[in-house]
Amino acid sequence: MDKGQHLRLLINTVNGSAAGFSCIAMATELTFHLSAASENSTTKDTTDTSGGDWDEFDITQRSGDIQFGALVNVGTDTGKTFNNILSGVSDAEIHWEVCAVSGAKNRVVSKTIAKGLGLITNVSATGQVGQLATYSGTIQIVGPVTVGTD
Amino acid sequence: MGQNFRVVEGSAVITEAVSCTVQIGTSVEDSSTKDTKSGYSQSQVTSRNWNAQVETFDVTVTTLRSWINRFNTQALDTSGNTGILVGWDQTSGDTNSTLENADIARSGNAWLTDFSLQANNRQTARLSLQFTGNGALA
Repeated sequence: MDKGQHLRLLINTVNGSAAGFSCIAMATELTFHLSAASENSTTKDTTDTSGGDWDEFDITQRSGDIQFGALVNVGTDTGKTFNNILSGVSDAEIHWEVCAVSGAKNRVVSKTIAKGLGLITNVSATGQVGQLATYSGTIQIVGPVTVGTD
Repeated sequence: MGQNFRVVEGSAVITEAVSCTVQIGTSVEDSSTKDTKSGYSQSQVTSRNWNAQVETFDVTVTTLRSWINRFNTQALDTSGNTGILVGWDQTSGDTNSTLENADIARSGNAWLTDFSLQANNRQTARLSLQFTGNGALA
């Protein structure tokens, strides 16, 4: 069993260099979601040998999204990723990677699980009196998801 | 016991499962006619469907990559591609991984229609999988 902190989201702007990939700093939450839409494809040609009329389906479209949450901090590195995310809202696309991590601050990437392109479709920040400031966002996955092979 | 009812992929249980749920549904259509006696509605079964869900703590890199690969290779043109063999069975043994081929065991082809990995800080990372049955259960 792995703890949630050992799986992290890295992002980079499309125009950025490979070295520009960085973890969502001070991240607290991550949900990586893939969904396949299916449509009932049963026709009069469908035969059923089991005595019932079981529905058949075809996959019609794949989609996915990534939801993340983090603490807001004005520290150098964390502020940088927050700024990257904010700029990602206005940029056309961003690169994303979901990775297994370890080491100092859980920021040493050991394996890439999946990666692809995405659009940051929503970011919201909250600063309540007596609470830590947080932000959360959603990345809509664009195009195919590539499975890591390293 | 709940731990003895497990969802199976191929010929093996999905490991480190926390919860397994299967659903079989029947669609019915009102078939009442003017000939129907007593004024009570009459229904006819038109189709059946099934699906299965699993939540598991098995989130190793190998496992996650494997599921995403299977998700990706579900061709949109499904000719010749009928999905993943999924089913359920009663289990026994030290890790509840031995299939008993019990009377309740069923299996069929299914699509992996939902993959959700949740990895929050200070929580055990978990993966939820949802399969939509494609055709008959055997």
